[in-house]
Amino acid sequence: MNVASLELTGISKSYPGVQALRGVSFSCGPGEIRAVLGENGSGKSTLLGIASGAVAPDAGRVVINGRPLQSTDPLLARRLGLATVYQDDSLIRELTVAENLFLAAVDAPLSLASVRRYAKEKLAPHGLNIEPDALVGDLTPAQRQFLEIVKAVSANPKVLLLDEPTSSLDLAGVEKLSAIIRRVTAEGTAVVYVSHRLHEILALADRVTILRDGEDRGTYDINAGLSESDLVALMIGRPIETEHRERVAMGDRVAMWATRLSGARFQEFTFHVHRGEILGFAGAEGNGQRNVIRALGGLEEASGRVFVAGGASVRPGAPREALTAGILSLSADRSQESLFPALGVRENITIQALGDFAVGGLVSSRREQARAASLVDDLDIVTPTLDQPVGSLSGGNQQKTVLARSFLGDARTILIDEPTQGVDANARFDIYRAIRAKAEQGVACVVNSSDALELAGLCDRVLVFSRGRVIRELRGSDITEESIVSSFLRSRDTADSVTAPDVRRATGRLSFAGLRKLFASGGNRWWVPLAFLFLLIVVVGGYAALRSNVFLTPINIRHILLATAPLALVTLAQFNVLMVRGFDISVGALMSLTVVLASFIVAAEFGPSQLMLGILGCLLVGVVAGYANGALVRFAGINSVITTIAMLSLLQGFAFLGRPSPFGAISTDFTGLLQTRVGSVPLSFFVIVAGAIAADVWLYFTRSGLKLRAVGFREEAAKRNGVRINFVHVRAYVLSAVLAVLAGFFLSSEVGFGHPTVGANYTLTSIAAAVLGGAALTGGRGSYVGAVLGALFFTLTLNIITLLGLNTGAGIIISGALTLFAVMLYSGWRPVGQIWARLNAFVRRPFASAQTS
Amino acid sequence: MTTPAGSPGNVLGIAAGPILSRSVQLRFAAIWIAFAVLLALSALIAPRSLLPTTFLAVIPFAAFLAIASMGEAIVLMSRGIDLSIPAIMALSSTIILGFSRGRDEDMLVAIAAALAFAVAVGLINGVLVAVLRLNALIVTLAVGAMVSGATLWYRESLPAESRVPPALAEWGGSRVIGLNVSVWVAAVLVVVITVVLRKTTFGRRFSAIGANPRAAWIAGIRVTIYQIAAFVCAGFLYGVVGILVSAFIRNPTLLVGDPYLLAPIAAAVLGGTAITGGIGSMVAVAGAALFLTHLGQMLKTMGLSTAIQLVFQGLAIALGMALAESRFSRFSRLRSLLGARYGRGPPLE
Repeated sequence: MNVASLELTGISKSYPGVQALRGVSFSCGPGEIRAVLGENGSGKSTLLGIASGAVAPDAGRVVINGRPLQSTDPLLARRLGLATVYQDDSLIRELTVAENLFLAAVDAPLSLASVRRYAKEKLAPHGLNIEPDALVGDLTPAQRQFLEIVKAVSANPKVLLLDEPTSSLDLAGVEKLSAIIRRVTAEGTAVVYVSHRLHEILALADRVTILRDGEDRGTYDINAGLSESDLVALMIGRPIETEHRERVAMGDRVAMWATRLSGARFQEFTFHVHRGEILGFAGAEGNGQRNVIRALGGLEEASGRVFVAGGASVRPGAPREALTAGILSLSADRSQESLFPALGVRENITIQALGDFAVGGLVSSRREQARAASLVDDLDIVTPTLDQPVGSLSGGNQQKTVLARSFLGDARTILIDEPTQGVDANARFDIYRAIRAKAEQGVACVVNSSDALELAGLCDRVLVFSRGRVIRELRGSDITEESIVSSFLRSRDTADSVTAPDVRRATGRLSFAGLRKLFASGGNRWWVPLAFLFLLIVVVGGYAALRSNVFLTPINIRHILLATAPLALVTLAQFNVLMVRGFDISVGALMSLTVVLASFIVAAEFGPSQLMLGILGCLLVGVVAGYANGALVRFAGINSVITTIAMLSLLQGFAFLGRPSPFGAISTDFTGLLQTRVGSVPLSFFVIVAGAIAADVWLYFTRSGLKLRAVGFREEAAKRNGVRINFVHVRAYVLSAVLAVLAGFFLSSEVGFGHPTVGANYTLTSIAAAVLGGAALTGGRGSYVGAVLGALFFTLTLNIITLLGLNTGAGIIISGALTLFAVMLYSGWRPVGQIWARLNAFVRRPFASAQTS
Repeated sequence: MTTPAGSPGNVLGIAAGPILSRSVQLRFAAIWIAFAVLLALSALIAPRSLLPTTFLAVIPFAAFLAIASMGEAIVLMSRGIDLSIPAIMALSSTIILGFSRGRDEDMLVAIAAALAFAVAVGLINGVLVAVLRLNALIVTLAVGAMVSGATLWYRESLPAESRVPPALAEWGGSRVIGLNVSVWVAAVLVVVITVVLRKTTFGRRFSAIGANPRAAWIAGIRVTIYQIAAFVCAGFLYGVVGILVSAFIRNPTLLVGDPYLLAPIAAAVLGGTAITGGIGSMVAVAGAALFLTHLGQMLKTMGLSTAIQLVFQGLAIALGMALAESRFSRFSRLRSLLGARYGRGPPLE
């Protein structure tokens, strides 16, 4: 046999508290379809992660197509000929199908103009009916999954890794996928296919490798002799580390129930749980069981209501309501959703029950301390003091801290998502003990776990999920690891071709929904902000022309355009940083410093060569300041606002040191040059507009421009597509600073002498003008031309205020109001819509509850 | 087998009592260590800055900065940022002039109005940030601009030579036990805010919404209310500083708040306030205000331009953040290692 396409030798990898892989070796030849099979947590995904260069192994070696993968670098793995299909995690939803393909493609055409045809060519052979111009966010999950596959296949890889590719596909989709896989293997590509679905594996793969607890359980040829039950038997059988629970006779008192609940990844879920019962949710990851437990606890939205004993009902998506009804939900995402990492153990335990320790709003620290200490003791939480920040504890102690909350207050139902994830064996035992103790107190416990053995040891009843529905209910002695695992592994149902109803979309309604939609999607259609601004300029200009006969005179127009130059440049500066989700607060101070610096090194008495040097010197200062900003933000990890505020202080200090008060004439040769006119229009205006148009062409029609937008939209996904994100970020700050220096030059041509604070007001206006021009604070959106138009609009407004003789105060008020208006325009609608919808719901509530009960 | 619900009062080897963990203590103690180093340094190179007369002349400014910085620190603790301090200070100071017209009998009304307006601006900031979810930086800059515009307009309707009521001026210049009255106001505020933050349900929930707003929401805390409250409290404190500064300098101009745009951020950051929310110590922030004020004084006695103070301030913010962040990043890496994503199941599974 010739050289293997993918060869892994002796791979080991451990995470705190768990050995994910132990000496696994794996070899897959050209044209082979290899399935990798294992339970949740058996190490499959870690293996894929290591093969694709995303995860560093502790030991072992990866050889792709005969060449070793020398460092943990997904880009290197890609270059060696390995392509990974993620579960739609490398797509940028704000970009179109064609742009996503373009971003990833190796053999892509040079310009985005021809990319539509390219995308069509790539999509066509697979019989996929996806429009190249469609936004990825508008595609169905199945279409996105196929797009991921097409993206990976377009690179003509030697090895193709697929991680659970069929979880979002219906029957036709699975067939289509099989056809694609057969086609690429026919061309000699090796396919490694991770799946939970046995019958799909038996139908498609040539051979199957089985993992159990990070160990290789052997590789088997798939033939008629290999049955599903053989495979299941190979996968299960981990040593038992929990004692089985003495199952109590279930009371008939129902604690909580729901009927026909539908949400993000589940449909028509109906269930009940009794008091004192431990109910388990099982299934392969991503089959809706997590979404159900989250919806029940109010962490996720869903249509329908959840009922508790006593007649109260709770709306999914409102944790406060759930808590009031006695439902306590402990999320699996500890760091994001349960813990206050910076706060102490005591504060984390008592946060939901502070009222119990307080008299008249004053917390009795003695009682709180005592109660927290006793819980720490009972649950064996290992911590040096009660005030140790919980973020510094081990996973097991963190989880126990969260669990301790359920022993305070009066929750009648506890929902626990992944009770022992990231928890070592000892802590696991304590956690099981705590859950059982709660059940014995008559509390209903619902546990979602990816660990079938855990559920088998803990639960009185288990619901097994597949593709958003309960496919099996196991009770009493029927609950074994094998019965749970084989239930979901052997399920043959497929995803409904009808996708789950989108709950969020239904909430926005009423009169301004249309308007909101236009602006919310305005950033997608590049011309919306431009058209809007243009209209605004015409209206405001028209009004001014009617009210003042000076407004349209050539001299006033020239005045406006001259004043636009510095603002337009500094807005362009700010826009670069806004594109990558940052702020540059230091631009105004840098403009001031440039003016001050110019009064020294571009001074009135200088000759041409000295002037040149001076100009270069100013630009150099800009580059240094910009690089310092970028480096602090990216490499020291400091928030961009704070970084640039520090830079602002620094630059402003230098400006004051240079010129404590206005002084020092700047070369009139230089300022005169900047004010050169063509007819009555300043040359600078043409140059800036032309530059902005060129920059927009770069941004929207080249690959490097696309990379910038990709970083702005979704950094992680951009990284997976091979974009050097640090470079993109730092470049944005350097560009910003250099443009701010240019803006400072134009400002100096207006002022004529060194002035230490002359640029101060430009920072706010630059943000406002950029946002008005379509830049989003969330990054990725906007245009350079929009930024220039935004600056023009601001200058125009201020000019009109002066012409109409309005108070200076009014001018400042208007520019502040315009700024708020600008941020409201593109980003402020959603909360307004939500408030509106909530008010609506509030008014309609009597009817709503009448319908559901 | 014992049930975890176990008997209360079963206190194990954990020392009870108000202990702060070492890392938190260090975070807040750092500024006092820095201050001690600065004092030692000034004893060596600028001994005149340590004279009692200098100290007494400078300490009111430390008090002003401390109060403004506490406002900023509260906003930072709620994960916001506030750049409207100069505007709110100028507003409250101008309202003192306008409502009292220099008459003692209208002084209390003027003080009440000044505080009310400052609180109202804070409320506007808070609602725009917490309810409409607009970016705090832009909101406070824009609202600040609008407030300055309105203040300018209002100021122009007042006589150019306006003074605060004589009684207020006398109070503002008076000393209690040898220290300017504003120092005592600052001290009282430090104590009150510290007690509220540490000892009340309100303060405890407030730290929670800063430390992790999403987890706080899930824990049933009304996050929006607390975020608004942060800006409102901050507005009140800026109003207080506006009044104190006006009383101290007697004929305040519109520029009265200008030094307070960046310095409070520097003081809050140097005082160990977490920019990532949730933790902060008012005592440490007051210490940072003392530090920055003394630094300025030391530079001045050394004959250096006050401008150099801005440079130092910028370096201090960057350095303080770099230290805090690097500690935090180690911390968060640890957290993510132990967290759900890399938990028992390997990633992506």
